[in-house]
Amino acid sequence: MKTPTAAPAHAQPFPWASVCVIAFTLGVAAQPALAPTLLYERLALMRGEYWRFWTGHFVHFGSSHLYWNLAIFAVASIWSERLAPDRTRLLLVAAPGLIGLALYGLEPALTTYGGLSGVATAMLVFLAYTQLARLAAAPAGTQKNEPSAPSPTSDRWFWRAVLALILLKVGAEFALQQPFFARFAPAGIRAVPLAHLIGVLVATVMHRNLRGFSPRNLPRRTG
Amino acid sequence: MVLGLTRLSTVGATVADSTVGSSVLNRVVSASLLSDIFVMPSDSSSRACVFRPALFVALLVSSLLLGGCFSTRGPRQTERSSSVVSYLYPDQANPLPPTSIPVLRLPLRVGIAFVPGKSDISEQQKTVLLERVAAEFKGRDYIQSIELVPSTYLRAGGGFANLNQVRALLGVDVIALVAYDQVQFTSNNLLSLSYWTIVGAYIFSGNKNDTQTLMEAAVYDIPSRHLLFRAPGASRVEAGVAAAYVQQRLRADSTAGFNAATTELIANLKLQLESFRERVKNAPGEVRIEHRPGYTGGGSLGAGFASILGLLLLARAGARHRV
Repeated sequence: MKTPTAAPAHAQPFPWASVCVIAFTLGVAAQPALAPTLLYERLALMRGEYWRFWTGHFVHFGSSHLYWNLAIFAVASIWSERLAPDRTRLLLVAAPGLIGLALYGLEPALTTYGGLSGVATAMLVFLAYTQLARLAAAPAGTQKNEPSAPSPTSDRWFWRAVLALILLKVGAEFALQQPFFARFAPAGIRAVPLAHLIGVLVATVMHRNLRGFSPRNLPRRTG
Repeated sequence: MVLGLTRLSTVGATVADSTVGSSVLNRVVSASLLSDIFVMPSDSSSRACVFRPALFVALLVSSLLLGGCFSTRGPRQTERSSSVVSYLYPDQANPLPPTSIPVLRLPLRVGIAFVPGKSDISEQQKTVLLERVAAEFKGRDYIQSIELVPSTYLRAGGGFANLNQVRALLGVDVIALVAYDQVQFTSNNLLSLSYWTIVGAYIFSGNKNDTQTLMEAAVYDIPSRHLLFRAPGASRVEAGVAAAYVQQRLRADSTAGFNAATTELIANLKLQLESFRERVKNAPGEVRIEHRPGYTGGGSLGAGFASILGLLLLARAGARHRV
């Protein structure tokens, strides 16, 4: 009689939520007719089309706008989902809506918004926090013999540099009122650094307050 | 027998009225002839009547001929049309040209509607065609929204007063008025001789339908009453059909004609839209462009940011390798 082989303790889950978001973003790009229905549009939101809070992030204004946002999002989100699957999935659901709501409340002049960068920033910040937390929690000496284990001495500076780079970018965009390190293909589209700042804040709150979050720990109804 | 002959004459008369319209044949099958076939005796007490076979045969042959040629009539024509000029300038032989310069406030809110006219196009068919045209405007950064204006919002000869009502109601600044002119001809060919057999009217395509459609989208700035640009589309659909299915085929051809004309209209609309953009750039005095308060924003991380992250990753890999 065969006994089921147990999964190794360090097995990392498949990042299906990230893959779904990437596929959806590419699908929207392949079907431009969907864009008017999904884009963040203030007037449409006022009419009650609330799905745009979420879906606006997946519409892009050009191929360059799409590819770089998606490249950074894909790396950050997949990496993050493999390390902290439950919290990453929660962040993937919450971040687009929260960023959309914040833009609606804090930026009334913004009539139309599109782009995944706010969510990508949130994922990148969350990944950096998660890695720093892992490095702080990892017992010294375990990393040398285990390739998947974090390496505190070599990695801490990297994740701190990532966080510093994001903060530098957001600060520069607020100061210069134009996209820092980025250009939009269609003329007349302005950068919205508030989206990146909200992304940073959402990721920070998520990391600090939901460290032990897992759907399995939620109270369940009985009877 | 009398009842049977009366029925026969009624059918013959109906056929004659509904098809050829020949006055001679109508006269042949007239009520007065019935009394010629059955000559009533002068003696009113007798109910019997004298049968006249020669006249009966003549009537029978006439009826058969009528039945055989019920669709070998000459060309027929059906027309459905609407006119932008009649709608915008009713009862005006010499309308005054607009004097003010159109001011387009970007992004535009565009309405799109069929010009009211004498037509039997269904509202559903109109909506399908308008949606196809509207799709051409969608997804452009200088267009904020597109509203399909139902036919009930426009009244025949409503003019700019009616358009201003639509503007107030739906909040559109620019409207694309779609007008059309469709003419359908039906004629006979040699195969129509087979209709004499009655069955041939169901089998042989003795009729030829020709459907010619012209559509035009005229885009107006409502406040200034200026025609910004226009785009036409035309189509011709020809089909052979048996007499029994002429009306059915005409309806199908009408739909096909509108679809084909709309396809051409959309292609021309693209060209005219680009041409209009160039015209606005090259001749800024012709149309004034303003931007609405508010802006379109995007979040972008960009190639520069991704490159720096990539360099950091490389440096990290190098550091790990050294450790």
